[in-house]
Amino acid sequence: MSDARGQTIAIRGLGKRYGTVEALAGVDLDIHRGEFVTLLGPSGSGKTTLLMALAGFIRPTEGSIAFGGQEVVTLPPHKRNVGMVFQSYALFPHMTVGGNVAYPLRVRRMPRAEIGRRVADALALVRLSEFAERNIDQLSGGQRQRVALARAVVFHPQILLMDEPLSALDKHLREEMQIEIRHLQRSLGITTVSVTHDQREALTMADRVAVLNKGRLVQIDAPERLYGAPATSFVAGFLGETTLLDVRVENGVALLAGQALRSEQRIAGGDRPLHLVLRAEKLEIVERHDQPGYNVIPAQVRELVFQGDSLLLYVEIADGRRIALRRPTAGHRSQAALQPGASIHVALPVQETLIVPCDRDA
Amino acid sequence: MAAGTNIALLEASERAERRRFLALPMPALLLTAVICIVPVGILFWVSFVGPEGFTLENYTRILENPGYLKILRTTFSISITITILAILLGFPLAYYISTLPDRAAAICLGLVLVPFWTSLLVRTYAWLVLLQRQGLINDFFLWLGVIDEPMRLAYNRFGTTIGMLHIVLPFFVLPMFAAIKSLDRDWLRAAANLGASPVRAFWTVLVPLTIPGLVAGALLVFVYSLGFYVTPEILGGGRVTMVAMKVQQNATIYADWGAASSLALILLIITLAIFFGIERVLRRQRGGGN
Amino acid sequence: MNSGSSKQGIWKFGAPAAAVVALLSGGALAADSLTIANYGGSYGEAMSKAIWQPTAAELGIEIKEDSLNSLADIRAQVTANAVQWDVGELTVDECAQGAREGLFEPLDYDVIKPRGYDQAALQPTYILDNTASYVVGWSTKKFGADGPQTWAEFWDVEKFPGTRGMRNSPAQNLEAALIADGVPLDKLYPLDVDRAFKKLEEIKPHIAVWWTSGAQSAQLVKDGEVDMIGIWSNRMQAVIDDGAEAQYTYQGGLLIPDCFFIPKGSTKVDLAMKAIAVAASPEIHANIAQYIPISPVSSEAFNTGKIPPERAKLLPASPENLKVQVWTDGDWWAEHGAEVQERWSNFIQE
Repeated sequence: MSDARGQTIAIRGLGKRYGTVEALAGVDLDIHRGEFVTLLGPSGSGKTTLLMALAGFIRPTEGSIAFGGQEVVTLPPHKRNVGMVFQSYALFPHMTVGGNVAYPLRVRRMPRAEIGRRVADALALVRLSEFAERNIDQLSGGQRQRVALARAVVFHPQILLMDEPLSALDKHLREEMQIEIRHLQRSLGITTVSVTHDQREALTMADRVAVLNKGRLVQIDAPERLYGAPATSFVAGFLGETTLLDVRVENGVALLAGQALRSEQRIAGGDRPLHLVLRAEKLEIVERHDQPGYNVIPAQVRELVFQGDSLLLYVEIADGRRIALRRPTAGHRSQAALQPGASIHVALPVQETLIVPCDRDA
Repeated sequence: MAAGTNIALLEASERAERRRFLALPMPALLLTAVICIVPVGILFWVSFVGPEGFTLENYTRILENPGYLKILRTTFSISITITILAILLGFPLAYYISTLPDRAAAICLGLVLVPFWTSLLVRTYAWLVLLQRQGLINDFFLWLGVIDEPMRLAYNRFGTTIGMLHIVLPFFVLPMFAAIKSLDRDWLRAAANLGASPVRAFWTVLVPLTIPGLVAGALLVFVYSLGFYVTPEILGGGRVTMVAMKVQQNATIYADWGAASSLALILLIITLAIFFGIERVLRRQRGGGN
Repeated sequence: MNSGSSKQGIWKFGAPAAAVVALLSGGALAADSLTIANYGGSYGEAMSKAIWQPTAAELGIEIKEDSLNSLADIRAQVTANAVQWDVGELTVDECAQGAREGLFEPLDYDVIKPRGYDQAALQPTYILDNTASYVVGWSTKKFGADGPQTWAEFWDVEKFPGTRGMRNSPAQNLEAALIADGVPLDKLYPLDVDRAFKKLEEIKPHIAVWWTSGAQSAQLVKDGEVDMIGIWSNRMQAVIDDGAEAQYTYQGGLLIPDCFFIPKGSTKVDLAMKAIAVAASPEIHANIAQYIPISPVSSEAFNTGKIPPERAKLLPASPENLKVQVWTDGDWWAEHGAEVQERWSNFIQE
């Protein structure tokens, strides 16, 4: 079943208003054929609105959406030919597993034999061949998820949309399904857009992650770049375990609590407030205050939390602000030296010293 | 102390709790017994009692006189017509209201309920004002020149049907609205997403999933229609006799309740038979999968 | 409950309540008070002012007024042996039925001393008092003064095209049909039911409304819903007085009298008899016509000077109008009512 081929999606100037509230504003986004893009953002960021606009359930106030070069913004949902996996799965309770998967084929008035063949293929794809006659309420959560997936791809749509597809599953199953969906998507070559608020899910599955905030697209990039080079403090803060500290810039040099920070980045001056990005796992603890290749910040331990595979520390720097940092439990100095009150040197590698413009609320 | 010693105590406490819960519906059960079961029992008794003791005359009369059959037929055919019309009008209305924002939906439901706030008699006369020979509708069409002669809209089956439909419609719309509202909206979206046109989605998803609400509403409307008295009396112009009217007539003609009771009981039995018949079919459908 | 009277047993459910009411309404004034019952409403009010208040004054007693719906109410009280009413008033067919069932006390005409009554009006257990008439009425807007003047013309759809209304009841309509078919007024009873229904079949397609209540019939005339109607004269007169463009004729009118009786088991039969005597006396009897277009049945009432000639012309039982009308035979209806009513229901169903 590999005649399914992906199609490009081109979104231009897309906006949606509800009264005075802008749910979506000025979104421009190009998705390549066969690409897996995840829309990531907090609730209210507009990610679901964008997905629903793609599916045709929400009519945007302005802008255009084209699938494979064809304008679809006014096309009703049943004519868009996109598959969708709903957060609730939306499996029809009055039909069997087979009936659900056959539904899109039946509405397309396919011949019986063809329907049978395709349903069998789709169920085999999600490893549920034995379940065709089952009722929906006899399935586990993971099985329902797979039926929803089979139903969404059985009619060979060129675009697959997924709305928080894994949120109803427990952690273990979720991680398994992330891999499975990724494989499936690759093998089908279907252009996929999914929505999640789970950064790990986004980073695991997607070719590119689009971060949205307050209805606007903030950054779209491959997972590594998104993490390594966040465009703004919002992106930096949303991904990973991060402390953001605002810094002042004088003569092209960033100052943290009066201390000059070395960086490989060229720091743009101007009036915009800037933030220093401190990833908890990138911070080290050193003996010397002049460790080469590091920006060293003196600090005092305030809190120490043992979390099995790692230690989480909250330390306080000279001007009273707090930083979170994480160290592996084993292979490091004894915990005794990190008891609250102990003075330490927190070190940030110069090449990891990120300073980003602030776009967060005060 | 052995672990088993307080088992009896715990069981007794559970029994006591169950008894306390039983006390809650007790007033309702008693009331039902007094206002429903006892009168029906009396009706039953009276229908078999004549001046000479036990008699079947109240029933043989109904069997022998073709007029009764006709009245039963009229009653059921009007009720069925009204049920069908209520479904045809009420389903789209309930569906439409269910798609509105909460506030607008509340207002619309309020409008649907308005008829409940006015007396049945007033509503029925209001229809007369609209439908009669020199009523608003005839006047309007005469004025337009669409018709030369007033149409006969009232004092017949047509007028009766309209008047009754207006009264029973809320009984269909409310359960239907509740049924549609409780549907997961994603089901309809999924149907559309999978390629079903709105019409197709309506028949393949919305209708099958709201059948319980539809049946509940339809049964309510049907059973309620069977017992109508005032509306056919006024809007039927004498041409439409429904069972309840005949029950009343019999009470006066024969100067005893027996003749009236037998008819009322027959109506009750047929209604119950229909009710259980439908329930059975539904249960079989549900049990037998899809 | 003894065997064979289970029907009575049902009525006994009402007995305790009736007994309590009887106790409450009895007491010290028992000797000089009476309770009467009639259909109530505006008719009851007129009767109160015209008949019962003057009667109470004349006898120096108190008369309480209550309302009833049908003979069933009397039957309930009598069979339950809890009679609360001393004088009742019903239409003639119900009186005849009550008489057949033995629900009334015999009347003592030596006490009542009726004047100006037909012999037929003076029955062993009831006495006719007021009457209305079922008459042909028409819209003057449609026909001017030249509406259908007889039942035959009411039936004549060629000469008088238009919508018609009749009462949804076999009573009076069977008579009207027979009159229309040429049966002389004095040969009407016993009614030829088959012939009457055959004649009624002819007019049935032209009846727009079979009315069920007096109020409804009045509304039909007022709204112009029908061009011709079989209607109670008092209702018709009231609508005309109200300004409706309509007229009616007593030609072939069917007089439907009410009557007084004393429910069997009344504890004040003697006083009730005296009250009926006063109420039926022409002087008081005549009062009713001053309040509503209902007619006293005693011819002497028209000689009391209380009914001016122009008013008498409008009343169904004035000597002039009586000549062209016929009295409903309550006995015939009491005997055949149920059977005919069943046939009527079948006839009227579409």
